[in-house]
Amino acid sequence: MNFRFWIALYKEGFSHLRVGKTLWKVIFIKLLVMLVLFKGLFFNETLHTLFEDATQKSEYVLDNLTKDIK
Amino acid sequence: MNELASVDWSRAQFALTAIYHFLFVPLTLGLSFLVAIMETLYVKTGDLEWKKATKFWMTLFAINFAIGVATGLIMEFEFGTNWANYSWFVGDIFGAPLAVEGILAFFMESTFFAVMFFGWNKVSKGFHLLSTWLVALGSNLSAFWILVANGWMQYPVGMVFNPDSARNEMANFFDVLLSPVAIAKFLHTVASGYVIGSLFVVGICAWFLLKKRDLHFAKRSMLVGASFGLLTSLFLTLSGDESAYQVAQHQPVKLAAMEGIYKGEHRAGLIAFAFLNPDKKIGDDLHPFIGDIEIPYLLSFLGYRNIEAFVPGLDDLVYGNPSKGVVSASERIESGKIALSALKSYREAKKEGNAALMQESHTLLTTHMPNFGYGYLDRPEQIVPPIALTFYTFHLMVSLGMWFLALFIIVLFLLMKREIMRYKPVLYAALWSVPLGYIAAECGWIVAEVGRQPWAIQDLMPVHIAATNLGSGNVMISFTLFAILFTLLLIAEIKIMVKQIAIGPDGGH
Repeated sequence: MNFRFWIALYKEGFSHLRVGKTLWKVIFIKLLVMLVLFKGLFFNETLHTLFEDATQKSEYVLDNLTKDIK
Repeated sequence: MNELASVDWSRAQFALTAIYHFLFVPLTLGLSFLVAIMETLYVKTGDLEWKKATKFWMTLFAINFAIGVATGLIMEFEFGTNWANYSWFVGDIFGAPLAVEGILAFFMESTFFAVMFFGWNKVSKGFHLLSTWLVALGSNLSAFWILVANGWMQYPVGMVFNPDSARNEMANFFDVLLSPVAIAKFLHTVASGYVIGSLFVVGICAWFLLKKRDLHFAKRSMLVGASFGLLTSLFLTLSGDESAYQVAQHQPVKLAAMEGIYKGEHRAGLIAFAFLNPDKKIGDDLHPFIGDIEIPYLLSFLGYRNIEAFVPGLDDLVYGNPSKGVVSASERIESGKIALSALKSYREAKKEGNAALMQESHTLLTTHMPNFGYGYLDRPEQIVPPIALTFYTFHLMVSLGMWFLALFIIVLFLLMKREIMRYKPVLYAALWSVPLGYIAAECGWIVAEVGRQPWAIQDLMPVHIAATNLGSGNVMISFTLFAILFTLLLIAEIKIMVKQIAIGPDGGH
Protein backbone atom coordinates (compact mmCIF):
# COMPACT_ATOMS: atom_id res chain seq x y z
CA MET A 1 0.00 0.00 0.00
CA ASN A 2 2.06 2.89 -1.27
CA PHE A 3 1.19 6.53 -1.84
CA ARG A 4 -0.24 5.77 -5.31
CA PHE A 5 -2.58 3.19 -3.81
CA TRP A 6 -4.03 5.76 -1.42
CA ILE A 7 -4.45 8.37 -4.18
CA ALA A 8 -6.21 5.77 -6.35
CA LEU A 9 -8.41 4.71 -3.43
CA TYR A 10 -9.62 8.26 -2.78
CA LYS A 11 -9.93 9.05 -6.51
CA GLU A 12 -12.00 6.01 -7.32
CA GLY A 13 -14.01 6.33 -4.13
CA PHE A 14 -14.99 9.91 -4.86
CA SER A 15 -15.81 9.15 -8.51
CA HIS A 16 -18.31 6.44 -7.50
CA LEU A 17 -20.20 8.37 -4.85
CA ARG A 18 -24.00 8.08 -4.81
CA VAL A 19 -25.56 9.37 -1.59
CA GLY A 20 -22.06 10.60 -0.79
CA LYS A 21 -22.37 13.34 -3.41
CA THR A 22 -25.29 14.89 -1.54
CA LEU A 23 -23.43 14.50 1.73
CA TRP A 24 -20.34 16.27 0.43
CA LYS A 25 -22.54 19.15 -0.79
CA VAL A 26 -24.08 19.41 2.69
CA ILE A 27 -20.63 19.35 4.31
CA PHE A 28 -19.31 22.01 1.95
CA ILE A 29 -22.26 24.38 2.46
CA LYS A 30 -22.17 23.84 6.21
CA LEU A 31 -18.46 24.59 6.47
CA LEU A 32 -18.86 27.65 4.28
CA VAL A 33 -21.65 29.03 6.48
CA MET A 34 -19.76 28.21 9.67
CA LEU A 35 -16.30 29.38 8.72
CA VAL A 36 -17.21 32.38 6.59
CA LEU A 37 -20.50 33.69 7.95
CA PHE A 38 -20.30 32.73 11.61
CA LYS A 39 -16.56 32.93 12.18
CA GLY A 40 -16.18 35.98 9.95
CA LEU A 41 -19.11 38.04 11.24
CA PHE A 42 -20.00 36.90 14.72
CA PHE A 43 -17.01 35.14 16.19
CA ASN A 44 -14.18 37.23 14.83
CA GLU A 45 -13.27 38.80 18.18
CA THR A 46 -11.34 36.77 20.73
CA LEU A 47 -8.58 37.58 23.20
CA HIS A 48 -6.13 36.49 20.51
CA THR A 49 -7.41 39.08 18.03
CA LEU A 50 -7.82 41.85 20.62
CA PHE A 51 -4.42 41.58 22.27
CA GLU A 52 -0.93 40.95 21.03
CA ASP A 53 0.68 39.10 23.89
CA ALA A 54 -0.13 36.89 26.86
CA THR A 55 0.52 39.67 29.39
CA GLN A 56 -2.16 41.90 27.86
CA LYS A 57 -4.61 39.00 27.79
CA SER A 58 -3.87 38.19 31.44
CA GLU A 59 -4.32 41.82 32.46
CA TYR A 60 -7.65 42.02 30.64
CA VAL A 61 -8.98 38.88 32.33
CA LEU A 62 -7.60 39.90 35.73
CA ASP A 63 -9.37 43.25 35.34
CA ASN A 64 -12.62 41.40 34.63
CA LEU A 65 -12.11 39.03 37.56
CA THR A 66 -11.42 41.81 40.06
CA LYS A 67 -13.37 44.79 38.71
CA ASP A 68 -16.20 44.69 41.28
CA ILE A 69 -14.06 43.75 44.26
CA LYS A 70 -14.05 46.39 46.99
CA MET B 1 -30.07 45.65 27.01
CA ASN B 2 -27.94 45.08 30.10
CA GLU B 3 -25.02 42.73 30.65
CA LEU B 4 -27.21 40.03 32.13
CA ALA B 5 -29.22 39.80 28.91
CA SER B 6 -26.00 39.30 26.97
CA VAL B 7 -24.99 36.50 29.35
CA ASP B 8 -28.38 34.88 28.99
CA TRP B 9 -28.19 34.99 25.19
CA SER B 10 -24.70 33.48 25.29
CA ARG B 11 -25.99 30.73 27.57
CA ALA B 12 -28.98 30.08 25.33
CA GLN B 13 -26.74 30.00 22.29
CA PHE B 14 -24.34 27.51 23.88
CA ALA B 15 -27.22 25.35 25.07
CA LEU B 16 -28.77 25.34 21.61
CA THR B 17 -25.46 24.45 19.95
CA ALA B 18 -24.69 21.70 22.45
CA ILE B 19 -28.20 20.20 22.24
CA TYR B 20 -28.14 20.13 18.44
CA HIS B 21 -24.56 18.85 18.34
CA PHE B 22 -25.53 15.98 20.61
CA LEU B 23 -28.31 14.96 18.26
CA PHE B 24 -25.60 13.77 15.86
CA VAL B 25 -22.92 12.47 18.24
CA PRO B 26 -24.58 9.47 19.96
CA LEU B 27 -25.53 7.69 16.74
CA THR B 28 -21.93 8.00 15.54
CA LEU B 29 -20.73 6.47 18.82
CA GLY B 30 -23.21 3.60 18.82
CA LEU B 31 -23.78 2.77 15.17
CA SER B 32 -20.03 2.59 14.48
CA PHE B 33 -19.76 -0.38 16.86
CA LEU B 34 -22.88 -2.06 15.48
CA VAL B 35 -21.46 -1.77 11.95
CA ALA B 36 -18.15 -3.23 13.18
CA ILE B 37 -19.96 -6.14 14.84
CA MET B 38 -21.93 -6.91 11.66
CA GLU B 39 -18.79 -6.76 9.53
CA THR B 40 -17.05 -9.08 11.99
CA LEU B 41 -19.93 -11.55 11.50
CA TYR B 42 -19.46 -11.23 7.73
CA VAL B 43 -15.69 -11.84 7.92
CA LYS B 44 -16.13 -14.76 10.34
CA THR B 45 -18.94 -16.51 8.46
CA GLY B 46 -18.38 -15.35 4.86
CA ASP B 47 -22.16 -14.87 4.69
CA LEU B 48 -22.90 -12.14 2.12
CA GLU B 49 -26.13 -11.22 3.89
CA TRP B 50 -24.00 -9.80 6.71
CA LYS B 51 -21.98 -7.83 4.17
CA LYS B 52 -25.23 -6.39 2.79
CA ALA B 53 -26.37 -5.46 6.29
CA THR B 54 -22.96 -3.92 7.08
CA LYS B 55 -23.10 -1.74 3.98
CA PHE B 56 -26.66 -0.61 4.68
CA TRP B 57 -25.95 0.49 8.26
CA MET B 58 -22.59 1.92 7.21
CA THR B 59 -24.39 4.22 4.76
CA LEU B 60 -26.73 5.47 7.49
CA PHE B 61 -23.71 5.94 9.74
CA ALA B 62 -22.06 8.03 7.00
CA ILE B 63 -25.17 10.23 6.58
CA ASN B 64 -25.29 10.95 10.30
CA PHE B 65 -21.54 11.53 10.45
CA ALA B 66 -21.50 13.87 7.45
CA ILE B 67 -24.38 16.01 8.71
CA GLY B 68 -23.01 16.17 12.23
CA VAL B 69 -19.32 16.63 11.48
CA ALA B 70 -17.90 19.97 12.61
CA THR B 71 -21.10 21.07 14.39
CA GLY B 72 -18.99 20.98 17.56
CA LEU B 73 -16.66 23.54 16.00
CA ILE B 74 -19.22 26.26 16.69
CA MET B 75 -18.87 25.62 20.40
CA GLU B 76 -15.16 26.33 20.07
CA PHE B 77 -15.99 29.63 18.33
CA GLU B 78 -18.31 30.44 21.22
CA PHE B 79 -15.65 29.65 23.82
CA GLY B 80 -13.32 32.16 22.19
CA THR B 81 -15.81 34.99 21.66
CA ASN B 82 -18.68 34.63 24.14
CA TRP B 83 -16.72 33.02 26.96
CA ALA B 84 -13.32 34.75 26.75
CA ASN B 85 -12.79 35.06 30.52
CA TYR B 86 -13.58 31.39 30.95
CA SER B 87 -11.38 30.29 28.05
CA TRP B 88 -8.40 32.16 29.42
CA PHE B 89 -9.03 31.12 33.04
CA VAL B 90 -9.15 27.38 32.22
CA GLY B 91 -5.78 27.63 30.51
CA ASP B 92 -4.29 24.56 28.90
CA ILE B 93 -6.39 22.21 30.97
CA PHE B 94 -9.28 22.62 28.59
CA GLY B 95 -7.17 23.29 25.51
CA ALA B 96 -4.94 20.19 25.78
CA PRO B 97 -7.67 17.53 25.65
CA LEU B 98 -9.49 19.39 22.88
CA ALA B 99 -6.29 19.68 20.83
CA VAL B 100 -5.58 15.95 21.24
CA GLU B 101 -9.16 15.23 20.20
CA GLY B 102 -8.84 17.40 17.09
CA ILE B 103 -5.60 15.84 15.90
CA LEU B 104 -6.70 12.30 16.70
CA ALA B 105 -10.08 12.70 15.07
CA PHE B 106 -8.56 14.16 11.92
CA PHE B 107 -5.98 11.40 11.39
CA MET B 108 -8.10 8.45 12.48
CA GLU B 109 -11.16 9.54 10.59
CA SER B 110 -9.55 10.75 7.36
CA THR B 111 -7.50 7.56 7.02
CA PHE B 112 -9.67 4.74 8.24
CA PHE B 113 -12.94 6.33 7.23
CA ALA B 114 -11.72 6.29 3.62
CA VAL B 115 -10.79 2.60 3.83
CA MET B 116 -14.12 1.82 5.45
CA PHE B 117 -16.13 3.39 2.63
CA PHE B 118 -13.88 3.19 -0.42
CA GLY B 119 -11.85 0.12 0.47
CA TRP B 120 -14.35 -2.70 -0.21
CA ASN B 121 -12.55 -5.15 -2.59
CA LYS B 122 -9.47 -2.85 -2.59
CA VAL B 123 -7.93 -3.98 0.68
CA SER B 124 -8.03 -7.37 2.38
CA LYS B 125 -11.13 -8.32 4.37
CA GLY B 126 -9.06 -8.26 7.55
CA PHE B 127 -7.67 -4.77 6.96
CA HIS B 128 -11.10 -3.46 6.05
CA LEU B 129 -12.53 -4.90 9.24
CA LEU B 130 -9.67 -3.40 11.24
CA SER B 131 -10.41 0.01 9.70
CA THR B 132 -14.08 -0.25 10.64
CA TRP B 133 -13.18 -1.09 14.24
CA LEU B 134 -10.63 1.74 14.32
CA VAL B 135 -13.26 4.23 13.14
CA ALA B 136 -15.51 3.03 15.98
CA LEU B 137 -12.72 3.21 18.55
CA GLY B 138 -11.49 6.56 17.17
CA SER B 139 -14.95 8.14 17.47
CA ASN B 140 -15.20 6.94 21.04
CA LEU B 141 -11.70 8.12 21.86
CA SER B 142 -12.61 11.57 20.54
CA ALA B 143 -15.54 11.57 22.92
CA PHE B 144 -13.18 10.65 25.75
CA TRP B 145 -11.09 13.83 25.37
CA ILE B 146 -14.15 16.06 25.15
CA LEU B 147 -15.61 14.46 28.27
CA VAL B 148 -12.33 14.81 30.16
CA ALA B 149 -12.61 18.55 29.50
CA ASN B 150 -16.26 18.57 30.59
CA GLY B 151 -15.44 16.41 33.63
CA TRP B 152 -12.87 18.99 34.72
CA MET B 153 -15.52 21.72 34.63
CA GLN B 154 -17.71 19.59 36.92
CA TYR B 155 -14.85 18.65 39.25
CA PRO B 156 -11.74 20.77 38.70
CA VAL B 157 -8.61 18.85 39.75
CA GLY B 158 -4.94 18.56 38.84
CA MET B 159 -4.28 22.30 38.45
CA VAL B 160 -2.88 25.33 40.24
CA PHE B 161 -4.20 28.86 39.71
CA ASN B 162 -1.50 31.33 38.68
CA PRO B 163 -2.44 34.86 39.86
CA ASP B 164 0.11 36.44 37.49
CA SER B 165 -1.40 34.98 34.33
CA ALA B 166 -4.99 34.48 35.58
CA ARG B 167 -4.78 30.95 34.23
CA ASN B 168 -5.08 27.51 35.75
CA GLU B 169 -1.91 25.56 35.06
CA MET B 170 -1.85 21.81 34.87
CA ALA B 171 -0.09 20.35 37.90
CA ASN B 172 -0.87 16.71 37.22
CA PHE B 173 -2.07 15.55 33.80
CA PHE B 174 -3.18 12.17 35.16
CA ASP B 175 -5.36 13.77 37.84
CA VAL B 176 -7.19 15.55 35.02
CA LEU B 177 -7.24 12.53 32.71
CA LEU B 178 -8.26 9.95 35.29
CA SER B 179 -10.58 12.12 37.34
CA PRO B 180 -13.36 9.81 38.58
CA VAL B 181 -15.95 12.34 37.41
CA ALA B 182 -14.49 12.42 33.88
CA ILE B 183 -14.29 8.62 33.67
CA ALA B 184 -17.85 8.16 34.93
CA LYS B 185 -19.07 10.86 32.55
CA PHE B 186 -17.28 9.27 29.61
CA LEU B 187 -18.59 5.78 30.31
CA HIS B 188 -22.15 6.97 30.86
CA THR B 189 -22.15 9.19 27.76
CA VAL B 190 -20.73 6.61 25.36
CA ALA B 191 -23.05 3.97 26.82
CA SER B 192 -26.00 6.26 26.03
CA GLY B 193 -24.65 6.45 22.46
CA TYR B 194 -24.55 2.64 22.24
CA VAL B 195 -28.13 2.42 23.46
CA ILE B 196 -29.25 5.06 20.93
CA GLY B 197 -27.41 3.18 18.15
CA SER B 198 -29.19 0.00 19.21
CA LEU B 199 -32.58 1.71 19.39
CA PHE B 200 -31.95 3.11 15.92
CA VAL B 201 -31.17 -0.32 14.44
CA VAL B 202 -34.03 -2.05 16.27
CA GLY B 203 -36.48 0.74 15.37
CA ILE B 204 -35.64 0.76 11.66
CA CYS B 205 -35.76 -3.04 11.54
CA ALA B 206 -39.19 -2.82 13.17
CA TRP B 207 -40.24 -0.51 10.32
CA PHE B 208 -39.06 -3.08 7.73
CA LEU B 209 -40.96 -5.81 9.57
CA LEU B 210 -44.12 -3.70 9.76
CA LYS B 211 -43.79 -3.07 6.02
CA LYS B 212 -43.07 -6.81 5.52
CA ARG B 213 -39.93 -5.89 3.57
CA ASP B 214 -36.43 -7.42 3.66
CA LEU B 215 -37.53 -9.68 6.51
CA HIS B 216 -34.38 -11.79 6.71
CA PHE B 217 -32.14 -8.73 6.79
CA ALA B 218 -34.36 -6.94 9.33
CA LYS B 219 -34.57 -9.87 11.76
CA ARG B 220 -30.81 -10.45 11.66
CA SER B 221 -29.98 -6.79 12.17
CA MET B 222 -32.60 -6.54 14.90
CA LEU B 223 -31.00 -9.46 16.72
CA VAL B 224 -27.62 -7.72 16.71
CA GLY B 225 -29.19 -4.38 17.69
CA ALA B 226 -31.28 -5.80 20.53
CA SER B 227 -28.40 -7.93 21.91
CA PHE B 228 -26.01 -4.97 21.85
CA GLY B 229 -28.79 -2.78 23.25
CA LEU B 230 -29.47 -5.13 26.16
CA LEU B 231 -25.80 -5.40 27.12
CA THR B 232 -25.17 -1.68 26.80
CA SER B 233 -28.39 -0.79 28.65
CA LEU B 234 -27.14 -2.81 31.60
CA PHE B 235 -23.82 -1.02 31.33
CA LEU B 236 -25.66 2.30 31.05
CA THR B 237 -27.43 1.53 34.33
CA LEU B 238 -24.14 0.71 36.08
CA SER B 239 -22.34 3.76 34.68
CA GLY B 240 -25.35 5.90 35.61
CA ASP B 241 -25.08 4.64 39.17
CA GLU B 242 -21.38 5.55 39.24
CA SER B 243 -22.15 8.94 37.71
CA ALA B 244 -24.75 9.68 40.39
CA TYR B 245 -22.29 8.48 43.07
CA GLN B 246 -19.73 10.99 41.79
CA VAL B 247 -22.38 13.73 41.80
CA ALA B 248 -23.15 12.89 45.44
CA GLN B 249 -19.46 13.19 46.34
CA HIS B 250 -18.57 16.33 44.39
CA GLN B 251 -21.78 18.17 43.46
CA PRO B 252 -24.22 17.63 46.35
CA VAL B 253 -26.36 20.64 45.33
CA LYS B 254 -26.96 19.03 41.95
CA LEU B 255 -27.92 15.73 43.61
CA ALA B 256 -30.36 17.52 45.92
CA ALA B 257 -31.97 19.25 42.89
CA MET B 258 -32.10 15.97 40.94
CA GLU B 259 -33.99 14.34 43.80
CA GLY B 260 -35.92 17.39 45.04
CA ILE B 261 -34.46 17.08 48.55
CA TYR B 262 -34.82 20.20 50.69
CA LYS B 263 -34.20 18.82 54.15
CA GLY B 264 -31.36 16.35 54.41
CA GLU B 265 -31.87 13.02 56.12
CA HIS B 266 -30.29 9.74 57.05
CA ARG B 267 -31.61 6.66 55.24
CA ALA B 268 -32.83 8.88 52.42
CA GLY B 269 -35.18 7.28 49.92
CA LEU B 270 -35.00 7.57 46.15
CA ILE B 271 -37.91 9.38 44.50
CA ALA B 272 -39.25 7.01 41.85
CA PHE B 273 -42.08 9.32 40.79
CA ALA B 274 -43.34 12.69 42.02
CA PHE B 275 -44.74 16.07 41.10
CA LEU B 276 -42.88 19.00 42.63
CA ASN B 277 -44.86 21.38 44.79
CA PRO B 278 -44.72 24.66 42.79
CA ASP B 279 -45.11 26.76 45.98
CA LYS B 280 -42.12 25.20 47.70
CA LYS B 281 -39.24 27.58 48.47
CA ILE B 282 -35.81 27.07 49.97
CA GLY B 283 -35.99 27.20 53.76
CA ASP B 284 -39.78 26.95 54.18
CA ASP B 285 -41.68 24.05 55.74
CA LEU B 286 -43.90 23.12 52.80
CA HIS B 287 -43.72 19.55 51.53
CA PRO B 288 -41.59 19.43 48.36
CA PHE B 289 -43.92 17.06 46.47
CA ILE B 290 -47.55 16.74 45.55
CA GLY B 291 -47.76 12.98 45.71
CA ASP B 292 -44.65 10.90 45.45
CA ILE B 293 -43.49 7.30 45.30
CA GLU B 294 -40.30 6.75 47.24
CA ILE B 295 -38.02 3.71 47.43
CA PRO B 296 -36.78 3.67 51.05
CA TYR B 297 -33.03 3.93 51.84
CA LEU B 298 -32.01 3.73 48.19
CA LEU B 299 -30.62 7.26 47.79
CA SER B 300 -28.36 6.94 50.83
CA PHE B 301 -27.15 3.63 49.48
CA LEU B 302 -26.61 4.75 45.88
CA GLY B 303 -25.11 8.10 46.81
CA TYR B 304 -22.85 6.99 49.64
CA ARG B 305 -22.89 3.15 49.50
CA ASN B 306 -24.39 3.13 52.99
CA ILE B 307 -28.10 3.04 53.84
CA GLU B 308 -27.45 4.99 57.05
CA ALA B 309 -25.67 7.84 55.25
CA PHE B 310 -26.87 11.42 55.59
CA VAL B 311 -27.87 12.99 52.27
CA PRO B 312 -27.79 16.79 52.55
CA GLY B 313 -30.77 18.72 51.19
CA LEU B 314 -30.86 22.15 49.59
CA ASP B 315 -31.67 23.81 52.94
CA ASP B 316 -28.59 22.20 54.51
CA LEU B 317 -26.34 23.16 51.61
CA VAL B 318 -27.61 26.75 51.41
CA TYR B 319 -27.90 27.56 55.11
CA GLY B 320 -25.47 24.99 56.51
CA ASN B 321 -25.91 22.12 58.93
CA PRO B 322 -22.99 22.13 61.39
CA SER B 323 -24.17 18.97 63.18
CA LYS B 324 -23.71 17.07 59.90
CA GLY B 325 -20.55 18.91 58.87
CA VAL B 326 -22.28 20.77 56.02
CA VAL B 327 -20.77 24.23 55.51
CA SER B 328 -23.25 26.98 54.58
CA ALA B 329 -23.08 28.81 51.27
CA SER B 330 -22.74 32.08 53.25
CA GLU B 331 -19.49 30.84 54.79
CA ARG B 332 -18.22 29.83 51.38
CA ILE B 333 -19.23 33.21 49.94
CA GLU B 334 -17.26 34.89 52.70
CA SER B 335 -14.25 32.70 51.95
CA GLY B 336 -14.61 33.40 48.21
CA LYS B 337 -14.64 37.15 48.84
CA ILE B 338 -11.40 36.80 50.82
CA ALA B 339 -9.89 34.95 47.82
CA LEU B 340 -10.96 37.71 45.43
CA SER B 341 -9.64 40.47 47.70
CA ALA B 342 -6.38 38.57 47.98
CA LEU B 343 -6.14 38.38 44.19
CA LYS B 344 -6.76 42.11 43.95
CA SER B 345 -4.19 42.98 46.61
CA TYR B 346 -1.72 40.58 45.00
CA ARG B 347 -2.01 42.57 41.76
CA GLU B 348 -1.64 45.90 43.55
CA ALA B 349 1.35 44.63 45.53
CA LYS B 350 2.94 43.40 42.33
CA LYS B 351 2.55 46.84 40.71
CA GLU B 352 4.09 48.48 43.78
CA GLY B 353 6.88 45.88 43.93
CA ASN B 354 5.88 44.91 47.48
CA ALA B 355 7.18 41.33 47.68
CA ALA B 356 6.04 40.73 51.28
CA LEU B 357 2.44 41.72 50.53
CA MET B 358 2.52 39.65 47.35
CA GLN B 359 3.54 36.59 49.35
CA GLU B 360 0.93 37.24 52.03
CA SER B 361 -1.84 37.75 49.42
CA HIS B 362 -0.76 34.65 47.51
CA THR B 363 -0.95 32.51 50.63
CA LEU B 364 -4.40 33.88 51.44
CA LEU B 365 -5.57 33.30 47.86
CA THR B 366 -4.31 29.71 47.86
CA THR B 367 -6.05 28.99 51.18
CA HIS B 368 -9.40 30.30 49.95
CA MET B 369 -9.07 29.23 46.31
CA PRO B 370 -11.49 26.25 46.65
CA ASN B 371 -14.25 28.85 47.23
CA PHE B 372 -13.00 31.40 44.69
CA GLY B 373 -16.17 31.46 42.59
CA TYR B 374 -18.43 31.92 45.63
CA GLY B 375 -16.92 35.38 46.01
CA TYR B 376 -18.95 36.52 43.00
CA LEU B 377 -22.27 35.50 44.58
CA ASP B 378 -24.39 37.91 46.61
CA ARG B 379 -26.87 35.54 48.25
CA PRO B 380 -26.50 31.93 49.45
CA GLU B 381 -29.64 30.95 47.53
CA GLN B 382 -27.76 31.63 44.27
CA ILE B 383 -26.03 28.25 44.53
CA VAL B 384 -29.32 26.48 43.78
CA PRO B 385 -29.86 25.47 40.13
CA PRO B 386 -33.30 25.46 38.45
CA ILE B 387 -34.85 22.66 40.51
CA ALA B 388 -37.87 21.71 38.38
CA LEU B 389 -35.86 21.38 35.15
CA THR B 390 -33.14 19.32 36.86
CA PHE B 391 -35.63 17.13 38.73
CA TYR B 392 -37.96 16.33 35.84
CA THR B 393 -35.26 15.77 33.21
CA PHE B 394 -33.41 13.43 35.59
CA HIS B 395 -36.51 11.36 36.28
CA LEU B 396 -37.52 11.30 32.63
CA MET B 397 -34.02 10.12 31.65
CA VAL B 398 -34.05 7.31 34.23
CA SER B 399 -37.58 6.21 33.31
CA LEU B 400 -36.70 6.09 29.61
CA GLY B 401 -33.53 4.15 30.38
CA MET B 402 -35.61 1.53 32.21
CA TRP B 403 -38.05 1.39 29.30
CA PHE B 404 -35.21 0.78 26.79
CA LEU B 405 -33.90 -2.10 28.91
CA ALA B 406 -37.37 -3.67 28.99
CA LEU B 407 -37.83 -3.11 25.25
CA PHE B 408 -34.57 -4.86 24.35
CA ILE B 409 -35.50 -7.83 26.56
CA ILE B 410 -38.97 -8.11 24.97
CA VAL B 411 -37.63 -7.79 21.41
CA LEU B 412 -34.89 -10.40 22.04
CA PHE B 413 -37.36 -12.78 23.63
CA LEU B 414 -39.79 -12.50 20.70
CA LEU B 415 -36.98 -12.82 18.15
CA MET B 416 -35.72 -15.98 19.77
CA LYS B 417 -39.26 -17.37 19.94
CA ARG B 418 -39.60 -16.41 16.23
CA GLU B 419 -42.81 -14.56 17.07
CA ILE B 420 -41.78 -10.94 16.62
CA MET B 421 -43.99 -10.51 13.51
CA ARG B 422 -47.11 -11.33 15.55
CA TYR B 423 -46.60 -8.51 18.02
CA LYS B 424 -47.21 -5.33 16.05
CA PRO B 425 -47.52 -3.12 19.17
CA VAL B 426 -43.97 -4.16 20.11
CA LEU B 427 -42.75 -3.24 16.61
CA TYR B 428 -44.49 0.15 16.82
CA ALA B 429 -43.04 0.67 20.30
CA ALA B 430 -39.56 -0.11 18.95
CA LEU B 431 -40.03 2.33 16.09
CA TRP B 432 -41.25 5.14 18.33
CA SER B 433 -38.50 4.52 20.84
CA VAL B 434 -35.90 5.87 18.40
CA PRO B 435 -36.69 9.55 19.18
CA LEU B 436 -37.13 8.65 22.86
CA GLY B 437 -33.46 7.64 22.93
CA TYR B 438 -32.46 11.11 21.86
CA ILE B 439 -34.81 12.72 24.37
CA ALA B 440 -33.23 10.64 27.16
CA ALA B 441 -29.70 11.64 26.09
CA GLU B 442 -30.58 15.34 25.94
CA CYS B 443 -32.25 15.07 29.35
CA GLY B 444 -28.98 13.63 30.66
CA TRP B 445 -27.06 16.65 29.41
CA ILE B 446 -29.64 19.04 30.86
CA VAL B 447 -29.24 17.36 34.25
CA ALA B 448 -25.44 17.58 33.97
CA GLU B 449 -25.29 21.20 32.85
CA VAL B 450 -28.38 22.91 34.26
CA GLY B 451 -27.92 20.97 37.50
CA ARG B 452 -24.52 22.54 38.10
CA GLN B 453 -25.67 26.14 37.69
CA PRO B 454 -24.60 28.79 38.58
CA TRP B 455 -21.16 27.39 37.79
CA ALA B 456 -19.24 27.42 34.54
CA ILE B 457 -16.44 25.75 36.52
CA GLN B 458 -17.69 24.12 39.70
CA ASP B 459 -17.05 26.41 42.71
CA LEU B 460 -14.45 28.46 40.82
CA MET B 461 -16.26 30.51 38.20
CA PRO B 462 -19.95 31.36 37.87
CA VAL B 463 -21.32 31.77 34.34
CA HIS B 464 -21.84 35.54 34.61
CA ILE B 465 -18.09 35.97 35.25
CA ALA B 466 -17.13 33.42 32.58
CA ALA B 467 -18.98 35.34 29.88
CA THR B 468 -17.61 38.14 27.75
CA ASN B 469 -19.52 41.39 27.96
CA LEU B 470 -20.83 41.44 24.39
CA GLY B 471 -23.66 43.40 22.86
CA SER B 472 -26.70 41.17 23.21
CA GLY B 473 -27.92 42.14 19.70
CA ASN B 474 -25.08 40.28 18.00
CA VAL B 475 -25.51 37.18 20.15
CA MET B 476 -29.25 37.25 19.51
CA ILE B 477 -28.73 37.35 15.73
CA SER B 478 -26.15 34.55 15.75
CA PHE B 479 -28.44 32.53 18.06
CA THR B 480 -31.25 32.85 15.51
CA LEU B 481 -28.95 31.95 12.62
CA PHE B 482 -27.68 28.91 14.52
CA ALA B 483 -31.23 27.80 15.17
CA ILE B 484 -31.98 28.08 11.44
CA LEU B 485 -28.76 26.36 10.31
CA PHE B 486 -29.05 23.47 12.73
CA THR B 487 -32.73 22.98 12.02
CA LEU B 488 -31.95 22.83 8.30
CA LEU B 489 -29.18 20.32 8.99
CA LEU B 490 -31.53 18.20 11.05
CA ILE B 491 -34.19 18.29 8.32
CA ALA B 492 -31.51 17.39 5.74
CA GLU B 493 -30.35 14.47 7.88
CA ILE B 494 -33.85 13.12 8.40
CA LYS B 495 -34.76 13.50 4.70
CA ILE B 496 -31.58 11.85 3.38
CA MET B 497 -31.77 9.15 6.04
CA VAL B 498 -35.44 8.34 5.38
CA LYS B 499 -34.79 8.19 1.62
CA GLN B 500 -31.87 5.82 2.12
CA ILE B 501 -33.82 3.62 4.54
CA ALA B 502 -36.70 3.42 2.04
CA ILE B 503 -34.24 2.29 -0.68
CA GLY B 504 -33.39 -0.60 1.63
CA PRO B 505 -30.37 -2.90 1.92
CA ASP B 506 -30.41 -3.90 -1.75
CA GLY B 507 -30.20 -0.32 -3.02
CA GLY B 508 -27.16 1.83 -3.81
CA HIS B 509 -24.92 3.12 -1.05
